[in-house]
Amino acid sequence: MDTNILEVKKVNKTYSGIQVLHDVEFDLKRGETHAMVGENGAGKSTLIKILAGVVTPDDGSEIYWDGKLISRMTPEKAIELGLAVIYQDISMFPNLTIAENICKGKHTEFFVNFKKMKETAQKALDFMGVDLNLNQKLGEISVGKQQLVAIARAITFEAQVIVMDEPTAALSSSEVKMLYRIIDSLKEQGVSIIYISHKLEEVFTVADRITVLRDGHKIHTGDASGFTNESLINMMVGRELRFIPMHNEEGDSDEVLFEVKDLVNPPMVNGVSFQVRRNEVLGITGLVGAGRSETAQTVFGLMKQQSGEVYIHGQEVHIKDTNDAIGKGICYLPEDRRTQGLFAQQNMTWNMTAVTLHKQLSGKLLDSRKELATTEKYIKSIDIRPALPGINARNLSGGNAQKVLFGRWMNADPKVLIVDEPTAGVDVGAKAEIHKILRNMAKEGVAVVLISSDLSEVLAVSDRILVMREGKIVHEVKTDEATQEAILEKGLMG
Amino acid sequence: MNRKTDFRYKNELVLLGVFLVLFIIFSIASKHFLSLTNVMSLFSQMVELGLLTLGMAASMISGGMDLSLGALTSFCTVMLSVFIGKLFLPEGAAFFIVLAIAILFGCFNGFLVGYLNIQSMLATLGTQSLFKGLGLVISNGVTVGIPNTQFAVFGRVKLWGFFPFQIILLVIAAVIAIIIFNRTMIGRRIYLIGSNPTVAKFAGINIKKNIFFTYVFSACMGFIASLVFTSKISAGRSDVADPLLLKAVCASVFGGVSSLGGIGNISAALCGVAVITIISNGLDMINASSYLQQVVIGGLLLIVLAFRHARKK
Repeated sequence: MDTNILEVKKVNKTYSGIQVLHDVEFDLKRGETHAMVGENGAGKSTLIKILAGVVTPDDGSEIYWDGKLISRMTPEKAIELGLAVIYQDISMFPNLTIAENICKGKHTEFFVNFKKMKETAQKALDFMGVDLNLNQKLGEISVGKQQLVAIARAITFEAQVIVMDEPTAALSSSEVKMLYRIIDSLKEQGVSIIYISHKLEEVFTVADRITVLRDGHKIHTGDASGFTNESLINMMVGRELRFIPMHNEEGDSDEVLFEVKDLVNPPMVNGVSFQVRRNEVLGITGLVGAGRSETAQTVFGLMKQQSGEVYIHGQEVHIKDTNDAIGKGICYLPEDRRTQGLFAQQNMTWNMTAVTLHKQLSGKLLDSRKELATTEKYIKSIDIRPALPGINARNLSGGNAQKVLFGRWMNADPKVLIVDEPTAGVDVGAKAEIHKILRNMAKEGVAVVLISSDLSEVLAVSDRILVMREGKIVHEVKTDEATQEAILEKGLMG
Repeated sequence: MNRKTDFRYKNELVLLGVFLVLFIIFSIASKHFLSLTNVMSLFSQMVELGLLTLGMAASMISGGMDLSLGALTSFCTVMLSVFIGKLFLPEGAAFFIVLAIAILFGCFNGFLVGYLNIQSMLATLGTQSLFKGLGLVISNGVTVGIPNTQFAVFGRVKLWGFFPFQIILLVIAAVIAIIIFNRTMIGRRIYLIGSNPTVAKFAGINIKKNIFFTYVFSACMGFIASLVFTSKISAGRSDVADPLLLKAVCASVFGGVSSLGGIGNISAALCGVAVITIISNGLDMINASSYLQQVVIGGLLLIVLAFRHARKK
C-alpha cells in the first residue's frame, strides 16, 4: 500500500510564454483516492493532460510510474501503463453500442468477436453493480450513464490509475451514490483514483488525501481528515488579493442603465433578475454550470427566452437575435475566445471590424483605410501587441487576442457590455489592463456586467456581486462587505 | 513586409508565374501556340470555366460547396434552347425567363443550406440530381438545337473580327464578383461565416441571409455560363456543363480557396482557371493526348497542395 504508483516532480508547463504550472509535485499511492482541488485555471486540467500524455511538459519535468522514470509520456504509453482518464466531455463513440465502447480495441484480432466482447463488457458492469443494455447505442443513454460506461471501459483495460474529472457533474444523486460504491470496490482492487471536483462535500466523502492547486502552484497535500471546509477554501483562494482593487470613484448612482427581470430559459436560467446602475461594474460569479453564460447568451439573443423582460435605459427591448441585440446596444464578449470569439484564420483588422462593418464604408464599399484606422485606434488605446493590423489572429497571445475582441465591441458603441470570463488564459499583466478597460467603460456610461469564476477578479473589479447557482441568483453583496470565502460558500455549499 | 502578416495576393503571383512559364514553354514547343487566333481562343476557353469557378469559389468561401452548379447550368442551356428553338420565343424573353428560373433554383439551394441548415454538399448533391433529372425530362435526353442564326452574341460573335465577345462577359462577372467579395459588407460576412459560423453568430452576423445570397450568386454565374454554352454550340443539353464542375473546384483550390471556407481570393481562383485552361490548350497544340491533360492538371494540383501544406508546417 505504500508504494507510489504515480509520482511527478518539478513539473513546469509554459504556454506561449505564460507559465501555467510551477514546479508542481504530486504523488499517488496504490489504492488511494487522491482529490485535486483548485479554482478554475489553477492548473488541474493541465496537470492531468500531462499525466495522460496529451500535453508535453517543459524540459526537466519528471514523471515516475511505479518508481520508474518515464522519459516521454504519450497517450499510447499512458494507456499501455494503465492510466485511464474519464473526461468531463466524454470522448467516446456515441454511434457504437455500449459493449463496443467498453471493449473498443479488444477482441478485434481480424474479425470482431462480438460474443467475447459482450462477456467482457458484462463482467465489468457486474463488477460495478450497474445494469445496462449492452446492445444499446451509447448516444441513446444519459450523459451520467455514459460516464459509467467510461469507467467500465477503464476497468476492462485493467487501469491502475483512473482519473475522474468532475465525474458527478451530470449524475443524479442515486448515480452519485453508485459512483461512491464503485470507487470503494476499485480501491479494494488496488486501483488508485485521482478525483477532481469543485464540490467540496464530495471531496470530503471520497478522498483519502487532498492536493490543493492555485495559480499553477501546489499549495498543500495532506490527509483529507486534516482539512476543514474553511481551511480548504482558504487554500484554494489564497489570502492575498492578486489584483489592485479598482472600484467606482464617481460615487454610487441610482440611475439604472440596464435591467433584467425574471428571465427564464430552462433548464439553465430559472428566473434571473438584476440591475446595473450608472458607473457600476456588476460581477456575476458562481460555478461552471450555474447558468451565468446561459443568462448572458439569452439576453444577447443567442438563445430563445421563455419569459422575462429586458430594459435598456428604462426602455423595454425585445431581442430577436444577436444582430438585433447589437443594434440595440447589447454586446457580449463570449467565454471561449477560441471557438466563439476569434476568426482564427483572419487577420486582426477583420476580427476588429467584424461587427462594425457599416462604419467602415465609403459609399457602399468597404474602405480598407477606414478599417486600418479603426484597428490602429484600438491598437493604441488599449495597447495591443504586436501592433500589426495584418497579423493573423491565431498568432496573437491570449491577452492580445482578448483585447482585439474588446476593440471589436468598444467600436460597436455598446450600451450594455457583458463580458464572460474575460481574463481566462490571459497573463497577469494583460489581466490588469483588461480590468482597467472594464472600469473605463463603466465610467463612460456603459452598463458593464462581468461574469467570472475568478473570485479575486470579481472582488477587485466589480462594485456589486451576484452569486448564481442552478440558474438562480442566490446571493448579492456589495464588494466592500464581501469576502471571497463567503461567496465561495454561497456558490459551493448553498 | 513582416513575416507574420500575410501578403494578400501571394497566390495570384505564384499562379500567374506558373501561367507565364507554361506560356513560354508552349510557345517554344508549338509553332501554332503563339498566334493571335490561338491566344484569343485560349482566353475564350476560359470563359465557361471561369464563370462556374466564380460561383464555386463563392460557395467554398462560405464554407460549403455548390455541387449543383454544373447541373443548373446545363438545365439553363436546355431551357434556353427549348424556349428559342422549340417554342420560338424572342431571345430576350427566353433570357429573362431562364434567368428567373436560375435565380429560383439558387434560392432553393440557399433555402436548403442557409435556412434548413442542411450540409451544403448533401443538399446540392440532391438538387444536382433534381436539376439534371428535370433537364433530361424536358429535353427527353437529347440535344435541343436552336437555329444557327439566333443567339450568337454570347458565344460566337467576335468583336473587330478577332475578339470573342464572351471574354467581356467573364471580365464583367469577375469584376462584380471581386467587388462583392473584397469590398462589400455581404462579401466580408460570407468570408467570416466561412471562417467560423459560430463566431460569426456571436458577432451578430445573419448566417441564413448571407448563405442564401451565396447560392443565388452561384446560380447567377451558372446562368451566365449557360448563355455562353448555348450560344457556342447552338444547342442545349442536360449534361453539357458536367465536366466543368470538378474543374471549377480544382481551379478554386489552385487559387488557395479552402474547402473549409473563409480563405482564398476570387482573383486567385481565376488565375487557377487560367492555369488549367493553358494546360488544356497548350497540350492540344502540341498534339498531346487529351488523357494526358488530366494527368498534368491532377499532378500540378497535388504539387501545389503539398507545397502549401509543407510551408504551413
